[in-house]
Amino acid sequence: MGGDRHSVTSVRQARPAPGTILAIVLGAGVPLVFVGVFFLWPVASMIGRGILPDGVLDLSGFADVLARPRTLRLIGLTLGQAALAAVITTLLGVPVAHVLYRLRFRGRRVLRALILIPFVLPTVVVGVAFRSLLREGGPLGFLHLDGTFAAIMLALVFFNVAVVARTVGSAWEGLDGRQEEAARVLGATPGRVFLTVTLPRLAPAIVSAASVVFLFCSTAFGVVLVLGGTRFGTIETEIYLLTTQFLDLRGASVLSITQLAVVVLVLLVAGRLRSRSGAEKGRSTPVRPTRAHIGTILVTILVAAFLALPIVNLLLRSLTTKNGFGLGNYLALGTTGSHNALVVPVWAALGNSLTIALAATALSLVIGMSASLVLSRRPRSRGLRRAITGLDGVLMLPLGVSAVTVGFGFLIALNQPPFDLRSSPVLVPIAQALVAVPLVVRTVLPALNAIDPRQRESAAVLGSTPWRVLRDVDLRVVARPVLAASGFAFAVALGEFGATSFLSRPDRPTLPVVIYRLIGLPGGDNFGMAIAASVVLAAITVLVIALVERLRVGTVGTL
Amino acid sequence: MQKSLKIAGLALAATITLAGCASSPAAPSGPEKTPDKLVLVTHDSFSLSDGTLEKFTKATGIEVEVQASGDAGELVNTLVLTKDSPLGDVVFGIDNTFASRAVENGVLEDYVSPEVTDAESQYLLPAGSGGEQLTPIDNGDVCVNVDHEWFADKGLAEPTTLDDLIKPEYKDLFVAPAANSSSPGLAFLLATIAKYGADGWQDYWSKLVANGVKIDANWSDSYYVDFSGPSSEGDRPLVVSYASSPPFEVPKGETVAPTGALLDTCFRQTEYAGVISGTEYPKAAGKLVDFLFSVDVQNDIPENMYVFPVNAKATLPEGWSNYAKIAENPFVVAPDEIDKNRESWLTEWAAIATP
Amino acid sequence: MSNGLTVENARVSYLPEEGGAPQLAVDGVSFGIEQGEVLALLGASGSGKSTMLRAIAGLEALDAGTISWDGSDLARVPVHKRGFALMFQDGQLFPHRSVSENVAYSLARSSKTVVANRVAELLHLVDLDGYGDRRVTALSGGEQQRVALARALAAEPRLLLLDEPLSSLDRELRERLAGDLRQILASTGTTTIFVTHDQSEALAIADRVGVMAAGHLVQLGDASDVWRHPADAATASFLGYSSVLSTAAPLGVAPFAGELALRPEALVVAEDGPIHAAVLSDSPTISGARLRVLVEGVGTLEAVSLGEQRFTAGHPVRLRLDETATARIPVAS
Repeated sequence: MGGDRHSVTSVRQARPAPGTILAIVLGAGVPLVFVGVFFLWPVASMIGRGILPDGVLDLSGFADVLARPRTLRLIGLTLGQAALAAVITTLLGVPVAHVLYRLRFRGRRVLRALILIPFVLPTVVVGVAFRSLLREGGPLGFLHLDGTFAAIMLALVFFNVAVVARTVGSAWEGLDGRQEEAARVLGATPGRVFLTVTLPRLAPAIVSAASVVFLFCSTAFGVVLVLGGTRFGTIETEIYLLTTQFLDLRGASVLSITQLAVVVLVLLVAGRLRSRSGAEKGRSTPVRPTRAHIGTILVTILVAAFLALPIVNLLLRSLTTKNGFGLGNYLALGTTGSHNALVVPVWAALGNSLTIALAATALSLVIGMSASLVLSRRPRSRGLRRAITGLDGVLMLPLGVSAVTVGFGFLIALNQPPFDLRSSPVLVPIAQALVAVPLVVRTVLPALNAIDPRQRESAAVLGSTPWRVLRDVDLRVVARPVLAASGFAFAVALGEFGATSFLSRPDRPTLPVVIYRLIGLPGGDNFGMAIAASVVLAAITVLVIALVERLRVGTVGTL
Repeated sequence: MQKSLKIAGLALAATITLAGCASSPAAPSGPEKTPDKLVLVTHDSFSLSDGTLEKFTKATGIEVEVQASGDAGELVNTLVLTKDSPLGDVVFGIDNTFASRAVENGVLEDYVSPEVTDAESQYLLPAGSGGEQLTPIDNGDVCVNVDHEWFADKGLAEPTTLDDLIKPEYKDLFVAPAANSSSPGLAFLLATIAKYGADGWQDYWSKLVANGVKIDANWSDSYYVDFSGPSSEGDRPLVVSYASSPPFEVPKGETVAPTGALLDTCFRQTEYAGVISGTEYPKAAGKLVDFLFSVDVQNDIPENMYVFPVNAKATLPEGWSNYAKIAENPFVVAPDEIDKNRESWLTEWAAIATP
Repeated sequence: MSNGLTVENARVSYLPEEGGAPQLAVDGVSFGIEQGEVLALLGASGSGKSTMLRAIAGLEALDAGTISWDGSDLARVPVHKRGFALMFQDGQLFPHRSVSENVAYSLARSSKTVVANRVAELLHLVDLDGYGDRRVTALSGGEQQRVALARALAAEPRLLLLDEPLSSLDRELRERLAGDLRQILASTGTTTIFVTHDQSEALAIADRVGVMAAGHLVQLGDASDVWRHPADAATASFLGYSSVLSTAAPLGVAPFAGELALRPEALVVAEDGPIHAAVLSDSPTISGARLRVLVEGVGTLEAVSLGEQRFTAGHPVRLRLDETATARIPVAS
């Protein structure tokens, strides 16, 4: 039953082997150096410019900026819309997780990849796709949602359903289904089974997913701007305004610090809610859908239709050329745009995107995994445990901090050798990896936490060195979640735009940068190409992720 | 224990060393040498045909490396923030709305290309606000674009001035991007400030809002979603865009332009190039600025960057002269005025236009 | 048609996790049990017995055949409406709840007092009085199984399904609990099907025993009957018969059609026994010794000796046959 899992043996812990110390130093050191150099330092530099303008601490900015009614309104709006979006997305995402990860039907792997499309599409394209549906006179114009708060909610849900579905879904896959069976046979209706048996066990994953969505939404920039019209701002849009338009670094720093405070608070609360005990280790086979599942299936169909609408709209617009319906826009992707809008053909940009995203994914997997391995240790000393929790929080920070702050921070911090990387192509995958690492950790860590320590003990007793134990026990367990996380990380890296646009070189643009450029130029051809390129971007993502999903079953083997 | 700490230390050092691939050279002193390459810092809309920059290399033996840095606003901020260790040698893409910020923060060397003649002097910035540091390169006026076909269909007379836009017969027909999140949006606001004065524009905008103007977040939205032009499917025939937009809506082989620019609503938007202060190669950098002003580049600009060349000797591409006109008397606001009042203007604007 | 459970020609297949062709777990099984009866499904792992149980509970779908209760087909009846109860091998208690909360799970609709009384009653039945407030994670294995049993009984199921209920316990506990279980089932009159691989457990608890092998129901009958008359050699060895002989003449048994199955206790060392054999090895047991002997004309067999006597390899020994520890297997048709 697992009752012995947490029993404390009274054996004194042996002195750790020297190899272990090296492992911990590297395992924790590499992520720390990464986040420290490429995130904490740039952000601190930017904030430093604001509150330490001439080397003297000047906190007057706080009183000034935070007292403005506009600021307070924005903070309230940011938190409110992020919380609401997180709740709605979770409510919708859980049934979708059920259908995609617990029911077996043809094409569910493709569907799992399809819901990630919003992640990849540049916000400006999503904005166009949504708005052309919602505007007065558009197909959904009768809903009068254009420029309303509801439109922003719709878009935020659109982007983030996949986060909840994937996080909760892969946790759900690992739950031992017999608890539910026991409850069902005891006469509980499916609803009661879910509420009383499944939900308590899924709670950690749900809280994880909801907190990530909250963080994404609280720093959502493009979405809010494009769909809310200009009435609804967030702390993020304000930071952008203050930094870019006014170069008011003092004000921007105050808001960045506020953002950081919010993020830290969210992480603390989420960490509390996410209890370590009750972690599951087990599997159960997915079942054929039956009438009992009609509820979740309906919700999933609804969500899928809702996700499909803007995407289908994009598809249709991509096939609309000056000569009617056709593939003209796609063929034009081999050129550099009408009137030389681009430096390289769009296919070259796609190649750049894929290479860079692959590098970013590899980087985030290495860093995320070594971090997860360290984070899953349970040392005796309280201080060390606190340090581990701290490391977890630090790794999550990049999700909650403005891309503008980070982008500019790169420029002012990384300007001295050996770190003058400002013009280096290496910065782009690094910036993408910063956002992907927390997602990897949140996916891989629960699986590691669920390993029964006795598995490691029995391997050790059988003569395995600590490295072999790591390889045979931890890495085998983690192989599946790592593949799941890699798909996620790849999508995030592919679609990253904020920092990338700051750092990419004009002769090696990524596809989102190119799309953004095309859509900013007049001329129907350019627009058509931008939309066609977005469709290509989405299609490639789906392909890659669906392939990765296929791999999971074939080569990885069972737990 | 000692051994593993040593190994750990070495590993960490190796990581750090590997991470630092590029490094900027230290600034030497002494007479200027000819560099192998110059770094041109610009924004992400910069584009020239293949082979154009190579002409500079052929003539001087210096390679040009282009470093893009966000949009126009981000470009200036980048220069200001990296003043102590500049990103490059020459900057292109500072426009008149941000010129003052660049000048006041001292990020530019004093250099204006000697190639600038009287014909182009109208584009020079006033003395003290960039007149000594910035060479005009291109000109992308922001004007209200009109959908001729829509108005012809409805049998309605087109508006011609800013005053017309608040007339009742044009209610709900105008869409503009927001001034605080879009550069053409800001340009349009500045046009109204130039026309109605620092105390009168607020009233104008209240009337505009009352007349149903739609404010979008960015230009793509207004042009491709709400504008009724041939490339989009919206229902508003008046949009804030560029003087250079109409030629791109002309279908191949046709001779009639479906859209046009209202020249009485234009705001002058000029882009400049300059030498970045702190560069080791000011003379070579100056040569590059000259090159940007030269006919080789100026002829290449319209088709690549969708704006007008400044050089009077440049030739416009076919079709441009027919469909793209330059306003004779566009609205202008002094760059240092813009810099001084930007924040208060945008805040006021937001209160009126986006309540 | 019985008034209890009737299974007719049930076929159940499953899809292996890694993909591939469906595998047949239950292949054309038919049997019936009356209300109040206790049936054991005996078989090795892989024989399909657990799958059959799950299919009866409704957790697996039938590919073919019917399962009915008191004459009505259960095909359309969902799991939670069948009124059956299933107890897993490892209990599967809900870790977030206390003992009484677990036991009371199926009583959710009743009033608080009714529930409390019933829980107390059940805990008394399984000899866990006063355990109500304990966390289930703090209980020992045997205690957890008993809570699981109480939980299953709380629902007053029409049919109780037990999946290897005692396998995870140690021998002493198992024997004790087996006896308790038989008594509880008898006193509550609960119709029960339980699945096990341990034939002595089946004998101890069940009225009737069904033997399953490779998805088929090989034999079904009263417990002692099945035990004394295994249907074939494979069943015999599964039931603990150590050897199956095609000719028993050398042992002094009159020839008959079929095979003779011998339990280890069938051959007993006796000074005047008619069977001559040579000792191959000897290992002490609590009551004497267990021997491996070579019997002329037959081969290597097992034998037992009672008493302190020790044997050396190669030593001749005389044995007698205890026919009560043998069984005659009919000729395979």
